[in-house]
Amino acid sequence: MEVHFAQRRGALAAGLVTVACVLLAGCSATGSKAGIGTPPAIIYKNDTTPLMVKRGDAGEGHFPPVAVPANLAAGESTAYSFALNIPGIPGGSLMSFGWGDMSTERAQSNGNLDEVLFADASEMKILGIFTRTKVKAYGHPKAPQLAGAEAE
Amino acid sequence: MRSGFRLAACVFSLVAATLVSGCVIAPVMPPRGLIYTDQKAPLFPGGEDGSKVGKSSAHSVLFLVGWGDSGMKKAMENGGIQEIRHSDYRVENYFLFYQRYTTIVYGE
Repeated sequence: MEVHFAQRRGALAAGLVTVACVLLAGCSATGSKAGIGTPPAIIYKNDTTPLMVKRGDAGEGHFPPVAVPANLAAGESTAYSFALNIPGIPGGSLMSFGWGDMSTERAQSNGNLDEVLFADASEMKILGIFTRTKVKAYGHPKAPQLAGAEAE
Repeated sequence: MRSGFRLAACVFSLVAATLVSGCVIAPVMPPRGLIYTDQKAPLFPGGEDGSKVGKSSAHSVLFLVGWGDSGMKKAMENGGIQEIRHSDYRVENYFLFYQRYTTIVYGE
């Protein structure tokens, strides 16, 4: 009887660990599924990874050289999520909220970029509860007269 | 009791594999090792390498704390690169205690 109880307790603990790890550190909790995912961190994470490089007309799987201008400009876009992913609280992931626009288009607009040459993605996560994900796009700045004409 | 250990071992392996694998969307992802990993693979493959190399890294300890800037911009700054020609990535894992991801940019 004792062995049976110990087995059940062990299985329950193992299950909780699995659920906690998946919720806190798994792919679904990282926020950024593009580019390369850095190793997950359960307590605190703040890192930046490559997201994209401009793909030319050379075809799939081949990236032509990308010349970076001296006046390289940058734009950011941000999204947030808040989730009660606390180990031991069943259904915690159901109590989650997400908002924001971290699209490359938004970053391009915020940075007033004419063309995005490459982009990075950064993620700041605290205990899997609060996550801030940013896209940082880099590229050619818009010419002043062109930017003015679009504003009109 | 023995089945409990087996179950725990299976769960540990599953969790460890999930943690080590992460979310990788790259042209090539070689199989990772749970105990030791030190692999390089293409990230944004280009047709040619450059004379300059820039690297940037992000780190994680015990899957508890992660930090670092392994972005393209940082790698370019570190290597003094003005033209991106090719990029690789390197993944290191030392028995689940320490992981490092490195972006390697080649160019001029």
